[in-house]
Amino acid sequence: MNALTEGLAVVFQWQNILLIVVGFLIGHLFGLLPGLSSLVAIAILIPWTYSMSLDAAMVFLMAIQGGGIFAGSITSILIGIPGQAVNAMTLNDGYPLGRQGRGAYAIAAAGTASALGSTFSVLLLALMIPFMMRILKLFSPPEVFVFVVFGLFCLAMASRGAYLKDLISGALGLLVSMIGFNNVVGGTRYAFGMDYLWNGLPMIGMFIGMFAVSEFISIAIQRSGGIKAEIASRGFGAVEGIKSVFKHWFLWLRCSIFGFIIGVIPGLGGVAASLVSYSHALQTEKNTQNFGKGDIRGVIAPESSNNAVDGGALIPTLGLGIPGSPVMAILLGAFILHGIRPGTNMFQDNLTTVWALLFAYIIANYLTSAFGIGIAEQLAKLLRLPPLTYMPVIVVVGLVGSYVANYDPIDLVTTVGFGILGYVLMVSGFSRLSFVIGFILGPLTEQYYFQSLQMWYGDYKVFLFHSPLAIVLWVILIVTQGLYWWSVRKRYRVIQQMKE
Amino acid sequence: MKPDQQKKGGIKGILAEFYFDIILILIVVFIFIIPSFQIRVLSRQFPLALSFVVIGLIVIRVATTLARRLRAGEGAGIRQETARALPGATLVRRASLILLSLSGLLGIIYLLGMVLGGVIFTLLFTRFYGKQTWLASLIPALVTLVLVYGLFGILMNFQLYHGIFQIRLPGLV
Repeated sequence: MNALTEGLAVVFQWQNILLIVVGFLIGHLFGLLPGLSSLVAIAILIPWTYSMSLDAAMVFLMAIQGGGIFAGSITSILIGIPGQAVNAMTLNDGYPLGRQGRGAYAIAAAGTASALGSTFSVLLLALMIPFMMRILKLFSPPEVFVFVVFGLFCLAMASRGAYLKDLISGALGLLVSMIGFNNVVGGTRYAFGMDYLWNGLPMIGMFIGMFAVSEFISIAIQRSGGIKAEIASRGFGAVEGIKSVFKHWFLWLRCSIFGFIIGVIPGLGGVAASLVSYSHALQTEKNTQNFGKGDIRGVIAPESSNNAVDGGALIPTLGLGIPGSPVMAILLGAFILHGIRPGTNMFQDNLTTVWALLFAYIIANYLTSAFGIGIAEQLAKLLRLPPLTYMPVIVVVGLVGSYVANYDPIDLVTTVGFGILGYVLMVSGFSRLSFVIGFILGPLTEQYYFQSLQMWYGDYKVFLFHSPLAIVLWVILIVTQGLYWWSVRKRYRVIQQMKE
Repeated sequence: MKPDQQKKGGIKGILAEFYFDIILILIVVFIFIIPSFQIRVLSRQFPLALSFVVIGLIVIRVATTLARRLRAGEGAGIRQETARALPGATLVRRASLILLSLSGLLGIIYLLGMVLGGVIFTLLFTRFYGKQTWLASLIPALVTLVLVYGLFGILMNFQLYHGIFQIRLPGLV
């Protein structure tokens, strides 16, 4: 209870309130502009937090995330172009509503579903904290190691069609993180006589390169111009939009629960949650003939679940140090850069920070929803800005950010190198995200690997039979992979039959 | 076949589609496997195992993709999805220009430091590659100035890189 009140006190310090407002505005802007997302915003803004306390830094970064997700749904509804991948499902019904002159109705419903979805997931997380502390104590090094492997496989499953490429990217990220001094068994690896590589490749440079520089390269090569599409009129009906969420409260609740559960599974994130929730709404709701033509339930379902993901995703991120969603991977990096390695003791040792970031996320979500509902039409006009005018600014700011992390000019070259690698991965269909998650998890995975082996005197059976939990995790891993491959095979056969 | 797909046959086709996989295997072998035999056994154990996992996964991917294509009756012909429907020559020209621009950015930062280098890069890139007017290019350049000099340099007091000529704007550490 003390931590909760302390967390509230942290959030309501005037400096932190200011950070939340700035954070949600930045998140909102990045969520709207093509080529950018809250992920990019957090990656390039982590260096800004170096001079902040841990609490203030986390409040700021979480506010960016809170501001980013909903912003993408505004463009889905008014222009038919999702601001972020998580808002893609909102487009199905949001855009037709926008075209019918009911943009305000859809935006208000999306904003309310988002804000309430995030609140619900945070409340659920808060209720679970006492139980979680007990559950997390069951995780010793072998179980965490298995959970990391499970996370990488889940990430590959979420890639929809590039399963092996995602696994390769994840393993490659793990491998690249091995460069430099080995904290577990000592000695330097793969430094090739270069002092620069003794500390390993810079994490912040990797984030900025992979997400900001590679996007810059992609946009510049495509020469993407500003979006010329007609902006649908915002129209009226905001109050009806808000009411519609309460009218369909049971759908909102179910989808929020889906979002939360998907968030707990490492690596999946909001895209999978929106997809599952939309399909669920389509299959379980009555009178679905208007789905895809402008049914408000098609907006409520994905928006409530993609915002509920973050509450769930905080469990593996903070409790085990394994990111539950793409944004959590960067947030985990931010914790590490601030000298905290999230793990099983996080909910005991840094509970105030946990509460503060949860409150910041909720406040940012409400602010962004109110802001978005209020001036959505004006915000959508920002999409007319040609990306080639703001992407150079992002790259320069990103490079400066990567430099101030270590004050080493070579980091600039490394950042650009990671940007080129990110672009090559992108166009070759390999996942940048899996690479990043692998890179972050590398040192931790090796540490748990050796600790596990030490526990059973070098016997590899420790990973299988250390505890009933380890066995359960392996069973879940095998069953989920089996189900995944069974469904892929079934889909393949259907396609073959259709071809014949 | 989609317009952004080209059909190439035989060894050339295979190399074209799996060029990245081949490069990855070479990187893993020459950067992670061969040098690992010069480090301690315990220290190389985990990365070496990972290296073989990566190579194994790449081999499985290449084999399954080829098998699927052959089963589908496409023979050794390989469909290659080129980067977002751009003609090859345009892609190479633009990619070279971008690489040159990024190298230019690093070079100008090395010479003039982060503030001036960043502002000049933004201005020139927006003007010439972005094909905006000088006035329209000035706005992002000013935004860069405000963010790098104002925010990083003055407000947050970060020690910025001033270049080999040590051009230090007023107020910077």
